Amino acid sequence: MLEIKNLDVWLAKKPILESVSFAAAPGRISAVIGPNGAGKSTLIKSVMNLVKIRRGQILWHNRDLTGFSRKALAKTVAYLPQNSHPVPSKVYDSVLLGRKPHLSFRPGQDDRRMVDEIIEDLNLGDLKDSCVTKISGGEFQKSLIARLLVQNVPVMLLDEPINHLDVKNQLEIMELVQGLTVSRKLVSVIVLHDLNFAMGYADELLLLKNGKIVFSGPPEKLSVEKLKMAYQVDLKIVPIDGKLKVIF
Amino acid sequence: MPSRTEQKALGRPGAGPRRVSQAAQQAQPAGEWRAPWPVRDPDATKRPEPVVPREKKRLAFILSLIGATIVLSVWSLATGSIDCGPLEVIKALIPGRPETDLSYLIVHLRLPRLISALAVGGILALNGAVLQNVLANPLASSFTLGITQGAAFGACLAMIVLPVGATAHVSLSLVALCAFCGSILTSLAVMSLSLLRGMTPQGLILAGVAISALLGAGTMSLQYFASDVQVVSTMFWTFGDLGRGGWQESAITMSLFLVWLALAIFLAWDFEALKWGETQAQALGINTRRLRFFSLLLTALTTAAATAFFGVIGFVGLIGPHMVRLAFPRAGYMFLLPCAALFGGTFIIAADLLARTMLYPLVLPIGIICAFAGVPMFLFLLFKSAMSYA
Repeated sequence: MLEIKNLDVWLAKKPILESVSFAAAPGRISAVIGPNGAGKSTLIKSVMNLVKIRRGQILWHNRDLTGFSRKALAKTVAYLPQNSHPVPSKVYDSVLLGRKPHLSFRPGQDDRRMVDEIIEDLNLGDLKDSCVTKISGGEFQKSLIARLLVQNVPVMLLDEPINHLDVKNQLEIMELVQGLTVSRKLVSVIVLHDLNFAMGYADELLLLKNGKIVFSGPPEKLSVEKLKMAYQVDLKIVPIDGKLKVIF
Repeated sequence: MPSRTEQKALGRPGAGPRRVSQAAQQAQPAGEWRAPWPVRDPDATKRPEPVVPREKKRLAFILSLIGATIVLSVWSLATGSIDCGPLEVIKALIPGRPETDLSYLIVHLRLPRLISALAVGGILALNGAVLQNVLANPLASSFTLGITQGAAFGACLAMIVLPVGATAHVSLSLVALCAFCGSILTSLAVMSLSLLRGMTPQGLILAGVAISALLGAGTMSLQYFASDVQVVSTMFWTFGDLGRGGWQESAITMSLFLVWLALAIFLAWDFEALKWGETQAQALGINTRRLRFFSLLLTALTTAAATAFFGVIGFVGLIGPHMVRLAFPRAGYMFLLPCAALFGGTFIIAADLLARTMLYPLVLPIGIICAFAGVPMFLFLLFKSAMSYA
């Protein structure tokens, strides 16, 4: 159980997050939504100890994550930063890098076996000797998720994993994340911009606006007024084929 | 009650990729298994196997580098005021044989020079590779942090202000000491900035360039008020000369090089992670500020020693790592670091050989040869790889 309690984050003397509390459970996807500048990425970064916390606690099984060393944190939480750029490297080596927190010097047989398995699982087998800079955006994003998986940790934080992808790749990545969250009992927290993906895939929604929580709960309970208020846009939530869709 | 995610996942033929692939392996041939999400047809886009397997290509590269180093070393030892054959070189190197004029020359003059060349080249190329990584800039080298200019300023100060005299050979060690202090102080100033929170690698490079400019102005103003003889001797100091050191200097430089190389190889996977950017590296459990500070410290120490003993030798820091990168764009740091270092060492040995033989009996400054030989080679490879990307 990942719990965030009364989190305050200030950057450059301005409040970015104000008394944010929420909990994420294993095997469930929590989607963080909200307009630009709402503090979505900052929330994820504060779990990764990448921003300074002014007040509040981030607990993993009742242990405060803010006191963890970088290495200990990387053995608990895997993080996909926003806008990751490919660098020249073999896809296989890029995935292997996920084993870094567990290495003392260099990867051994077990590490390589694990990477082989994950690469097979994600259908990246025929790409593993390709250069990361030469594969498509969807394939690259999948290779980054493969890297998170070989890190073999219980918590997965994804900051806008489906940006700049086409619909097919967006679906593919979200299906993949959903399958993994269930099969591996991961705590998945995903920052999403696409409201329909958030409504469709999340078990838990967290709607932020100006650093404060506007709504938290299952997507069915989200009222259209709150969504309108957060985004300042006229929109509707309509059920289509039994699924909730946001129309604007 | 299962969560939404679970309900949806259970509704599909495969609940999770891990489970599916195991089931697939048992139930049906691997080729027929279909993922629950749409996948690209593996046969349609299968990339052709490379003609020479990559591992073999890398091994061949390393072996040919080592071969080139050995051949050039023997050649370099055999060449000089008295030329000889490779057999005589080997004979001279076997301990316990009676000393002849030739063997004295080889063991006491040419061998320390050779070891210095290997160590200096290795240090500069290794530092280039490390700095380009930790400063996230392909242009980074020892020059970027002001280390070289610091050394030059220190040496100038010793030759012009301190009572060393114009004939600097008399108190070479004092000049070397001042050069060493100059470069260490400069890099300490730049490095202390790296500990500031919010100091980006780009900011560090700019700080290094700014401090270099300041030191350059300092050196010039010292030279402006100095006598002609003093100015000439400072000029000659900056040219760089591998013959300046004896056994002691080459042994110190070599041991520094070997220790730093071992440490750098130990950190290879940290550099590999940092290649993906600051945030990625931190997410993978690396204390990037500590890694950067430690790398800058070791870089400063080794470059300061090399520059203080042998003067300014440029360009190796760029050509070493980039040649390996151009030949193996996907290579990791475990391969890049030792190869770049070895390439740098071999390059300096070759440049030194050229400097001593080209206009014999005149010995050209090694820095000039490095640039004249290296730049065309570097540009050729750069254009070639740019063409292949187009």
